[in-house]
Amino acid sequence: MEPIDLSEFMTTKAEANDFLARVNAVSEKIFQTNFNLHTALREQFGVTKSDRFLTLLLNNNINAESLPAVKAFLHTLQEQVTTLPVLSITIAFEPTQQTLASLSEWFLVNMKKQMLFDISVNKSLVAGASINFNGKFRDFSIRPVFERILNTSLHNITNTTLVQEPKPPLQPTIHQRVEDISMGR
Amino acid sequence: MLPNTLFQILTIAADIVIFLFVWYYLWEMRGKEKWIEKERVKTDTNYHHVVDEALSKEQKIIDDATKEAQQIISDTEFLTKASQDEVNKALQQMEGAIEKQAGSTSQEFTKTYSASLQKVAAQSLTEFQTITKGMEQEMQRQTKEFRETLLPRLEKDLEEYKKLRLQQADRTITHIIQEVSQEILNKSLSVEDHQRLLIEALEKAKSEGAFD
Repeated sequence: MEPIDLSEFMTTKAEANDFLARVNAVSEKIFQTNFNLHTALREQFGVTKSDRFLTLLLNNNINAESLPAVKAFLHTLQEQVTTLPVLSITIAFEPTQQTLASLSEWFLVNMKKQMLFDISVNKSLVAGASINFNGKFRDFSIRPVFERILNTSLHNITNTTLVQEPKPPLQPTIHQRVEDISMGR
Repeated sequence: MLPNTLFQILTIAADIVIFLFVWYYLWEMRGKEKWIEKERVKTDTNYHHVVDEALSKEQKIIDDATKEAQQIISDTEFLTKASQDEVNKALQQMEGAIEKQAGSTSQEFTKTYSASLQKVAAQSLTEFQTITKGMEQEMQRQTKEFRETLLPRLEKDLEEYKKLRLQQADRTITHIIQEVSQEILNKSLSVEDHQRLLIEALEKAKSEGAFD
């Protein structure tokens, strides 16, 4: 079975956990008397997302009237969400919803798979990102380049200053002569 | 009838006997009272007599004592005045003698004290000169030693310390400049720039096989 695209519902690990909890809530009520799928979905996901959810059912040829089929589909969704890979990513700015959507889209287009993000912000990265995936850490931020350039520049500046301003020699005597003393002048 | 009469006669006789007894008792009591009164008067008379006699004797004794006391007082006053004159005279003599002696003692003490003071001053001055000379020599020795041994080492330590502090300052300045420039550069980039650089980072990660 082809993996279902759930990027509309979640991009981060926290959103995935929230999604699982809501799907679970709907699934538990499904065989109760007077159960209404539309109402239950709206209660859990709101109007927009419940409509998307119904579209998802339709796209996957699930009859919304067949409660056993819906229950099985929800179970499949839960299983898929729990197996989604998680990418720990550190970025240098506060991400917007659009940023998260771009990231998710990039993975769908380039890696052909949905990825959940565990995002943290560290402004010392300057820009770019450092990632931790499958236990491997990689720094793709511009901080290393920035530090290298900065250190080179500072080193050059220090050297230039030292050349221009030679160190004054130490005075050989420590005694103060009476002739050199000036009182309040 | 007869017994009643006899009983009455006996009763009357008994009453008479009792009456007589009471009368006799009272008569005796009266006699005793008279005797007691007589004795009291007698005793009172004797008492007054004794008291009057004692008073007259007492008065005589007091008079004699007063006379004798007056005599003693007059004798004593005479003696006291004479003694006082004698004592005053003796005291005046003693005062003159003591004053004279004190004057001579004071002069002697002043002389001795002045001589001792001069001696001590001279001795102190000599000692002070000796100590000063010693201290001067010691100072010269220490100064020479300081110049020859301590000063070069001190200069070397100072130079090393200066170098160390400069290195520390250099590191601190570099750190500050780095943090500030990072912050400035970070803030100078727009969200779009950040997103573009983020996607570039992902592209680079992909090309290096970070997601495999």
